[in-house]
Amino acid sequence: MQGTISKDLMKSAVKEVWIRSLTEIQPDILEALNAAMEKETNERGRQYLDILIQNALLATQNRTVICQDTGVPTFFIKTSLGFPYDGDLREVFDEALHELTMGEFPMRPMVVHPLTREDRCDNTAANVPLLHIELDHGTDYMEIKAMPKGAGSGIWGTLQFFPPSVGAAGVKKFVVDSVLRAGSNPCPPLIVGVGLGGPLEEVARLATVASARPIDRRHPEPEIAALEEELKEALNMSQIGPMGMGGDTTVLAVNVEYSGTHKPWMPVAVNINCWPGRKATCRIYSDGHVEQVKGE
Amino acid sequence: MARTVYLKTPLTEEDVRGLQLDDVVYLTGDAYTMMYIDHFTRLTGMIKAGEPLPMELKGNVIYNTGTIFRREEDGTYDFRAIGATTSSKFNAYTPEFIRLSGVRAVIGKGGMDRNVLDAMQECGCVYLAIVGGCSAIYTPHVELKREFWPQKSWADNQLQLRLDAFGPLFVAMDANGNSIYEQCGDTAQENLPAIYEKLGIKAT
Repeated sequence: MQGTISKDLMKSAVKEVWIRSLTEIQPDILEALNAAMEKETNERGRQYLDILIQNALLATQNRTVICQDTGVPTFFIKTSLGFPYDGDLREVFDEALHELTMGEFPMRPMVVHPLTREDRCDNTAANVPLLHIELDHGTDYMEIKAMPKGAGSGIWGTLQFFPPSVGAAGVKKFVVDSVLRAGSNPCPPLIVGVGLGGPLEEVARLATVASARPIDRRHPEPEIAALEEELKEALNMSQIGPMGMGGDTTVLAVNVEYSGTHKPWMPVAVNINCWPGRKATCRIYSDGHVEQVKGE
Repeated sequence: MARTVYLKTPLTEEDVRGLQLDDVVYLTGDAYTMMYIDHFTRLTGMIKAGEPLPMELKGNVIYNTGTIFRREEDGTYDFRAIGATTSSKFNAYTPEFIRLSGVRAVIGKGGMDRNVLDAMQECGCVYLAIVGGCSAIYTPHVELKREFWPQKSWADNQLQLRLDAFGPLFVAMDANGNSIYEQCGDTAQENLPAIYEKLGIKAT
């Protein structure tokens, strides 16, 4: 098929969705913060929740960053094979991040070579921006979900292979221990993404996808949805609270995703996201119009 | 009952010894950024070697932070954002730094450990918690004055900041051996058996 979507259109859509992910609080997170504020019984917790909400609204209104750590540029892309863009996606994303960082929307250069620590100073590095591409048959658009991953929450991610004999209780213990180990450090209240199953790369991907699912949406399978609710309630019994200074609101949500796994395995990964749960989604339709989607 | 306190740097020992947990502080004056371990080791090394520092640390304030700014051609700064970074990264470097430098406050988020708390009590220094992930609220109260030791990436430079009624900051570790983080960490550990029980986990 002849490509009808131009590189310029792609690049401007990528830039816009990335800026939105850094500056715009999504409705699911804001609603959860407001609901937590209603229920929080700890005076200190209420004080901090109030500031989080004020900051989220101010950043969205002024189109300034919610947090100065603009993170590792990470994108989850879904498209059908028939989508009419035949250019180099890598080039689009590299240029978008380079141009934003160097001029249009200044960001801290964050990404470096893992061993040499070489810094190109433009938020690009080997395979970064990270592009996770998934086929979504039958759609008329390319969906791009931007997920900036900050250092302070990202460093507390965990992954372990258990034997199946640990059962659901073993999974729950690993999630609880991961969140308690992180304590006050990753800017609670947290959005906790849990991945179950698959081999190594899949369980980490699942935890990441889970951490970016809208938090007002439970898993469609009742057993998994119940696990999410149970873990959320249990983690909030910890009283770690907003900013780790005490209170009923330690997590805003626990989202779980799973894939099939090998018989001798029970792999679990936990991806911890700080309170703004930064994410933003856009859809580029095959006729060239771009929809900046709210709440995804 | 928490008080609201307006303080100006340099801070005196009396200023900080009088602060109690949960006091809300608005700070005016100079602060120096401490973003990376290098920032600690460089200054600690210089002080130990008796080299003169290009800044006055005694009585002043350090801030575990990250910033976004542009230096314009005329030398002025387009200062876009500042916010707290996780202080626990610097647990191992901060006690010695407090003892050698004479700083009176550390601004950061997430809190610090018992060794830092001990150094704070010994020297008269407090930990002022900023609310994490809140650049939009705090940035308007900060001006960038000067960069030190320019690195390849501007983001790695140590900075002198001018704070103007910068806050709200919360006294989360006082100069008398008390820490909200320690209290809340203890509470979470006390709550762990009940969490395990609710989830049907056998404690090991």
